Amino acid sequence: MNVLWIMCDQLRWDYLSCAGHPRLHTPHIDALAARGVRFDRAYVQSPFCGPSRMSSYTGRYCRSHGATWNGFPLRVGEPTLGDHLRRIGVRPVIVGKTHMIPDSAGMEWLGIDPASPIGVSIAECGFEPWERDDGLHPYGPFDPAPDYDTYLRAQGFDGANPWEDWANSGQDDAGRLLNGWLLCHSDKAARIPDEHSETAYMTNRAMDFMRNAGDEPWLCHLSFIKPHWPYIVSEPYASMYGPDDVPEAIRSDAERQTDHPVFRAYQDSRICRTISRTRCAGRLSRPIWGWSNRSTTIWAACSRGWKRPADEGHDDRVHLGPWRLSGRSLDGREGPVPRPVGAGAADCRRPPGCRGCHAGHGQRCSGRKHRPCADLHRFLWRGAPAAYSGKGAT
Amino acid sequence: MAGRPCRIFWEGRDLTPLLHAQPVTWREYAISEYDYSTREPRQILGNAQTDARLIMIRDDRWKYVHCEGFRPMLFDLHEDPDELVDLGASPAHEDVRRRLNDAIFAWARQHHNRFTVPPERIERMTGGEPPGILIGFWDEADFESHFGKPFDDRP
Repeated sequence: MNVLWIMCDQLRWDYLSCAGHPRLHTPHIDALAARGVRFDRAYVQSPFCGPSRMSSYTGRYCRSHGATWNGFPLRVGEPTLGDHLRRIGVRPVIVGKTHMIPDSAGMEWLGIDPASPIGVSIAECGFEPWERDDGLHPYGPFDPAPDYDTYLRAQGFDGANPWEDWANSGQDDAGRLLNGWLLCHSDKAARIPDEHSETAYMTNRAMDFMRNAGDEPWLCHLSFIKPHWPYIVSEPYASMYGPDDVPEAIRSDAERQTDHPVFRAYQDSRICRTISRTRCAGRLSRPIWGWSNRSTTIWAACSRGWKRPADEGHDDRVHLGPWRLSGRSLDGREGPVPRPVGAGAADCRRPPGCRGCHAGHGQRCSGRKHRPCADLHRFLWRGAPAAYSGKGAT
Repeated sequence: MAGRPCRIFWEGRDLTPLLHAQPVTWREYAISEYDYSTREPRQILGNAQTDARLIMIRDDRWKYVHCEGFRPMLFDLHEDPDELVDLGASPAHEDVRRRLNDAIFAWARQHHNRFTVPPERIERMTGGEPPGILIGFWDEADFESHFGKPFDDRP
């Protein structure tokens, strides 16, 4: 059994044609959905990226694994999907993003060499890094040198920071860079041709792995950064949709009149003030990148309308994306597996491949196993957690 | 050999002030937990391993024991210091039970597993993003007004 586990970052659950979006057409994801099962009442365990991912990788709630925000390391000793899979002879590989921060203090305390196999595994959240790339490489000290930069340079896309200046910037008629971090440039096309975009590159890397994997069973966690910000994309996608394709934002002056102190504090924060300013509001009454409730990618702090905080767990932030299983059952039947009933599939899930941990960790996974749905040679799931989506930023 | 320092995530109290006869703020409640999953009573009850949990909370007067899947126990330690009369089902003590159950819930809501990041680092992280990560900036002028330098001078 092999498993390809695809994840997108900041793709909303309802921004797919198979989920009923009135304008967007997402034929490939729809095709996966058509031969699988779509969990339309699934929820992530946190509206923020890191904690949610750690729940995916451990099968445990945030309160249990303790990595409650981006950059809060998952502690040494917390069993992960990769650990479970290795024990049953499956090779767990990451291609792309995990947002895992190594628990360096824990490793030092226990005398674990970060360069040793177990040290690497701990630092990579239990995965074998075929290509680890968290997808954020701005100017500055922030993980500055991905292999993707080397790749881009080899293609002739050179400069001080090819990731930022080519893959995440546009340019005007005079050749000046239009930096994709700035929201006013979200409607521009990225300078990089699509076939060299981060998404295409990472897909190719995953295919490299699969071609070279041999007969050993594997799980490949293909984890895309996009559509996470910087909010800019190459042609033909850049001009494929416009503001008219984005349903109206769900928002109301009534909800701004809150007396709730936390909600007010978020409204008063810089990001929400920025998005509320007239120049944004006028220009981006229905922007493609997420001002509205039904936007393609979520505004970090303002997922519904102008000021719903990322951290609050509004439904559009925590509702899981096109989370689906598809594949072939062990009896050879291809096609949809039975739809789960109710919200049972919704809350915490076990990592794929973890069948209730008969190897002795039964009590440690709080997620449900999916085996009752189907025995699968492979399954694709969680294409795009919406709450990931939400999460703010990094 | 001094050894490597262990991470600190104490849920206990600092006793140093007591050594110096300084005033302290005392806890309002004491909490104790028990897992009877391997004990014969679980066989007798036939309940799940995960439900074989007792959580005791006591304050100055009352002792309340949450029994997962069953009614709680309650003892009035002023009137009944030997804990002989279980008031866990007494209609007259609903308010007491509710208050102590709420106190357990408040305790359960606290962080119990978040210990890989020290509080001082969380303070340093608060209110900003890592260098180079620009979240929610409209244009170059917006950047400049926030950071006080031109966009091209970013890290």
